Amino acid sequence: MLVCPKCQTHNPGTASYCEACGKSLERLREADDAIERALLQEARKGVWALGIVAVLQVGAVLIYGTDNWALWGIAGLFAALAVWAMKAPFIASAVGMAAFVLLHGAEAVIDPSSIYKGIIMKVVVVAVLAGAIRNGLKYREFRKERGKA
Amino acid sequence: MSGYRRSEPAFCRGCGKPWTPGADACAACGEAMLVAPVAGGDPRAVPKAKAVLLAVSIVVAVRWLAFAFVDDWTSLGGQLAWHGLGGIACAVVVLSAPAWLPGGMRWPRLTAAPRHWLVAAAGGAGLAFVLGQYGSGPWDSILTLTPASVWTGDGTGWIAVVLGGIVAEELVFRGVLVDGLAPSAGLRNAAIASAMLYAVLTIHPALALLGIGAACLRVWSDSAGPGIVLRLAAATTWLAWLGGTV
Repeated sequence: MLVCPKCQTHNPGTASYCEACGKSLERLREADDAIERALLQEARKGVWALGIVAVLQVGAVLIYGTDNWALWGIAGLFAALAVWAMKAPFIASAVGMAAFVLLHGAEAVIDPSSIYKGIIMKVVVVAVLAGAIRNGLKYREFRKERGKA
Repeated sequence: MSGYRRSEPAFCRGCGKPWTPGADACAACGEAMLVAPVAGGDPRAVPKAKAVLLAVSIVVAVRWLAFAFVDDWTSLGGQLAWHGLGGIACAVVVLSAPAWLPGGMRWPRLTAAPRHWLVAAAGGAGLAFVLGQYGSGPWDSILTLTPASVWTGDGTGWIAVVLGGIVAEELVFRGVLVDGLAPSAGLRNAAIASAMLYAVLTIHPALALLGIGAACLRVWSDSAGPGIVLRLAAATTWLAWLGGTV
């Protein structure tokens, strides 16, 4: 929402002029749009994390054999999540986080020695996804406050 | 909640010209009056989304653990063990959801129009038949890995594995999960999330396709019922006519 600097009236986020006093809110709205774009950009960092997981998964397919359809499926899943995160950053990052943790958790149960394989990359992916979820929530709240969500 | 004006504006928010009293739109630029304040939405939407994602993650973990520790998962006993444990985990989630889900839970809607049931039954049977008859590689592995182990016998396997597993799974994925995510992400995104998490649960392209189909039916019919029928039709086709398992 946009608060008029002249009369303090709360206006919708899409307003160009104050509904109560008629003052132009263009500059205020532009500043608000810039904040929204910055929040969206932060929320979309999950795209990179999910995309990297997909690329690494494709690498694993090429190493372990191209007929391993389960690995192809996982690569496809994360690629789809990365594309989806462009449009819906919060929910895509949250689902991506759940899928990533579950897949690596299962791998760790089946083969405990796999926990330490690529541990730095795993930690980075989880941290980036956690940040993307947090920023996705902020973006969602911001849009809700402005009456866009 | 938003603090937007509920009453008629003095000036147009689009062009800044004085508002004509009693008008529904600005006489100068045509901008419509903001009739109702923008809804603030469900304040429990995000906690609800986190809770259902955690619950579904536990279901997936339980089923994978059961799968990993069953000695012979192709045998009837093995199938009953890992399908059964997954089904029990799903049933626990569905039945206990009113207690742990923020804001409580309404029972997933199971009714739908006749055309939804028809498309679900025909789609499930058709997809299973095509994949079973013409699929190769991963698509027919459902048939080649576990031939008819569940279908043979007195039907106990079918009831326990197919009916229990499918109904319980669908009530979790297309019921609790979609209903829990929809307030924060919207119905369509919630359905996409359910299809993706179901793909993570099964790690099988044919079953993931069924999950996508069930998610589409969930959005189209706004009910979890047609998804259950889709999967029952597919499983019955595989088991009865093609000699596979679920």
